[in-house]
Amino acid sequence: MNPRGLTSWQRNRVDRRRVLKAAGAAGLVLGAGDRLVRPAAAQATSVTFLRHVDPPANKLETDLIKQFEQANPNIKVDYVTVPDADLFTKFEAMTVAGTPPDIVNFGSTDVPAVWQRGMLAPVDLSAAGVSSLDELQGKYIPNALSGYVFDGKLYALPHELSDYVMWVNTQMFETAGVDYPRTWEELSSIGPKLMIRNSGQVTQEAIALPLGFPGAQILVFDAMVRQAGGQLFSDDGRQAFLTSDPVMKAVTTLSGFVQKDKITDPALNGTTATADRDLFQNGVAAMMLTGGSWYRGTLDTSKVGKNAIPVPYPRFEGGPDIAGDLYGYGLTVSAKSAHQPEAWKFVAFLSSHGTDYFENEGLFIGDKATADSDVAAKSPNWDVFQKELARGKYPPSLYHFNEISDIVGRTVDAIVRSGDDAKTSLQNAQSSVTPLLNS
Amino acid sequence: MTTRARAAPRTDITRPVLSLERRQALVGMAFVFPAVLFFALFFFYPMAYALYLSLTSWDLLTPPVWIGLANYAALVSDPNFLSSLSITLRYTIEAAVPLILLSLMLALFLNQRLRLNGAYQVVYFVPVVMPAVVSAIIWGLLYQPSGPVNNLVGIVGVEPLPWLASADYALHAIVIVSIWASFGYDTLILLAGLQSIPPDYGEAAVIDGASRWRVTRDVTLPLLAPRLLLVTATSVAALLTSFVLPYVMTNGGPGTATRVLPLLIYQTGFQFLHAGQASAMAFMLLFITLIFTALQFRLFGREVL
Repeated sequence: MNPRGLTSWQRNRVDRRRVLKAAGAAGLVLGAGDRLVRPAAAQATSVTFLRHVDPPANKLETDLIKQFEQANPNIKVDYVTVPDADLFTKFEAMTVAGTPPDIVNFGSTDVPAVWQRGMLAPVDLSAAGVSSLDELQGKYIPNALSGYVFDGKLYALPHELSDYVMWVNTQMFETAGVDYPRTWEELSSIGPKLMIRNSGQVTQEAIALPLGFPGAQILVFDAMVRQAGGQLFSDDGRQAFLTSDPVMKAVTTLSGFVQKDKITDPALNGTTATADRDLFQNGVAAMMLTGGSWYRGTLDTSKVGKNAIPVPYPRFEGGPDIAGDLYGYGLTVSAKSAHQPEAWKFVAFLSSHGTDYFENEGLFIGDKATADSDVAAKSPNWDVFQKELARGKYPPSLYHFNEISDIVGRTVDAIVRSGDDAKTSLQNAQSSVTPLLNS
Repeated sequence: MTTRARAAPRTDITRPVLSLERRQALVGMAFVFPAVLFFALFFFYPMAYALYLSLTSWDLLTPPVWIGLANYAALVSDPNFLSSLSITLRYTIEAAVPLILLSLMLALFLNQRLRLNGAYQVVYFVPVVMPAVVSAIIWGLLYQPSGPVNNLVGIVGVEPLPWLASADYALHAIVIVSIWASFGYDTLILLAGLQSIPPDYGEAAVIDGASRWRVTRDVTLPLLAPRLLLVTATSVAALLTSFVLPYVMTNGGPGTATRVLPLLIYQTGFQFLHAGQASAMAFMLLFITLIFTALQFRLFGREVL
């Protein structure tokens, strides 16, 4: 017993009360002080922005985020970048962990799968400064938004809009004394003149094909099929036409380059998925099919440099005037985000800097303001891209795009590289793809 | 009386609650507990969860839906699964047999206490310490049309081969890298086994008139059986679950020529968003690995254990 008649436990309890009271008071003081010093920061909303690594764009966006946060002190942007190939896996991991990012720049072919699961919020048109989808479409070049429209609503703002053109090495063409081909048939006939062999080994090939890269292969192949007058899939993604004559014509043309004309050597592609670009950049291939306007910057610092120019995709003789498939990235906002207004505000802010993206990296986000700007006019060969973009369209919105493109890409790969029987292989692919089509 | 008085129990000493054996057991358990916890958290729990997932339809983005054994039933008629399973078995057999024979021969050779034995051991062990991704990239370059491998086969008059570009060669090309990357480790295990065999047995056999081959066959190899079992079991399990080399070197191509089961499991789960189906494939692979391991135990006999 102590003089006050309290046990040691009671004494401790009093002490604990005092400590708690003191801590509470200190917290109130600190909280109030914080509010006094930084009134806005205390209520700041944080939005997470997940996007793929793209050094020039990442640098630009870091600056843009600073500007945005200064103009909107109540919004903080948590910028998360991961390699492109890992973006969807990162998104899956964040979603499974219960912390899905508020904003993601999904590849255009990934958007349908995410939308189908009800995970995307429709675009906040007011944040984009328009009152209707038609008004917004008026600000973009034709078809730029079509890949992100589902059930009449828009679910992403384009963050990149590209279509593949054919890149040619002018020096190699001059040396060979030929002009670049306008048709696949011409490509086949002039190709041998661009081949150089040393002791039986290919040291220069006419064209580097995308092999072992299903995502790019299907874009090239889909465009060729449409040029041949057909479709790989119906527009609603419910039907596949892999055994049709146009598909056969396209795959026969591609495999002919390897098996018959021998104007490309698949063995040169090695192990990397983007080997066709490497071969072109390193001056081993005279032509290449998987580069958009963004490729200029890479080429400028490569061995090929200014000798590389973009030209329209070849067409089939007598076939429709159709360019490469449109593809790109779209800025989306999660339907589960608690901060959708803030997220769309930031997305709209980024989208209003199309010219900066173009000037920094040649990255076109599909807006008319950039397409018609002085910056674009001064950009070398912009007219080629502009005309081709107007003649391209997105592949159908397939909810199982990755799986379907893997099946089709590997099938084409086996026919082209290994000379597998086209008819049998395409029949097998048709069977594998059918259960995965949109229903 | 005095004795009795001395023998009387001392009441001032408290008796331990637990016996010595129990206390020792508790101490032992305390030491083992972190390891058990580690395995439970990072191995057994994920395995149990994967088993549950294999009974669901789960796309990683929305909650799993229980579908019972449907994933397993679908695998039986899934051409991709059956194709990858066949490729995996071919790859495993093609690599395991030469790998074990080569390791055994090298171990027998190095067991002769040659000059520069240490240097040899360093050389053959280097591939083991090299990360698989690095090995895959380097070998990808070596397999280039005008690369060193084609130059080497060119010496004996063979035309340059499209090692990674042709479905006919790609799997063999990966098999070669697998053997190269693993034989150093297997050799080391077998060499340690050989060095633990007392030389007296061989010497006695020689005195009795046994030839060198007979000593190796009837004395050395039976005594080496436990190590051979270890090497075979671990190598086969590693080959059945091999992922990095096919992923980096060919990504399963050309076409699906080198798409082994672990690669298909990865694609199915993370790229195609069928995590339930991928889990079922993983359990099928585990089951196959267990069958292989059981067969090896039977082959080597129970006495080696």
